[in-house]
Amino acid sequence: MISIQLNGQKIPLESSSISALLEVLPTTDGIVISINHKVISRSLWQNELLSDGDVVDVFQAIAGG
Amino acid sequence: MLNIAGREFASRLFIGTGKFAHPELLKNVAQASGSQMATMALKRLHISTENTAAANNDDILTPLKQLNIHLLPNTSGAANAKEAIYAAELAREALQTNWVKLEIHPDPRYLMPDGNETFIAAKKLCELGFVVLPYVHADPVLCKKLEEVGCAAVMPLGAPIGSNRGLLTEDFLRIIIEQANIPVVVDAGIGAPSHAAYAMELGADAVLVNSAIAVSAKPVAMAKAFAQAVEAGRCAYEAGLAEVGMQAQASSPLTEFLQQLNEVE
Repeated sequence: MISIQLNGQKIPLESSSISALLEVLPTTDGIVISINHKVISRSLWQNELLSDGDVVDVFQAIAGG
Repeated sequence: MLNIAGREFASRLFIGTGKFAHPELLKNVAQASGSQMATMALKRLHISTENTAAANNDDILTPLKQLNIHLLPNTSGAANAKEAIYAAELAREALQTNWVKLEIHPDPRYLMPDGNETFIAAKKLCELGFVVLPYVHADPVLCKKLEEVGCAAVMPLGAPIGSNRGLLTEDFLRIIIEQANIPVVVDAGIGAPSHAAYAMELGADAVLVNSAIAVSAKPVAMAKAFAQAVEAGRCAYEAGLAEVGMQAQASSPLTEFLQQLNEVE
């Protein structure tokens, strides 16, 4: 069990894998994940491990001008 | 045909996807506009602690992709070069494109683009291999510098974003268009099809329209009107506009036979 800062909220995760993170997200379509302000390419998700206290941001493409 | 960074566009109308009431409307507008490039934004995903399964965003990506529209993510919300570069990197991953509409506006009231930060970010993003289309003031000197650091196009404003005031920067747009060796896309301020047609008559390579379509009472019809205006304006530019003068130039022969009436009396 670890704790991360996800989009400004402190939340617990079952494990340090990205898949544990994906489980707490409302959607995974068209999202991008950054860990400590470093963008993590989708192809690297399965190798990446989160650490306790990591600042994780998840963004999504939306409509805009 | 318009060519930006090796990609061809049959339509010179680019659309923004913001402010539409629902995704279905956006899809219909995109179709009616004939546009082949649409801007997108990024936002932080809303994380609910209750973890409701429903996605918190209506899907607009799928319909746009079905229409074969090239997506152009923007860096809206960035207040400096560092934030914009980060936003571009996020967008590249989210939308799987290295194209970016670079916009940096620290001031939320007028959304004026910060030329200095834009230049710094543009230079860096070009070095990183991005296809950069910076949104800038209608500043001919800055536009030239952005071209020199490798930007794929420049997007000078006609008037403040969403103001619908038309080409208030006309004189400077003319200089930018004259000097540019890269496409010039007039962005922001275009509020009516006539503004778009005028920008095209001046020699702009394309225009980007969002609010004027999205906020119209009939967005689909307005999208069509813009498409026609852009096409007409481009056609006129290519045909070459007739000279402007102060004195009358008769377009009918000045026939003398009518004057004979006076002579008879």
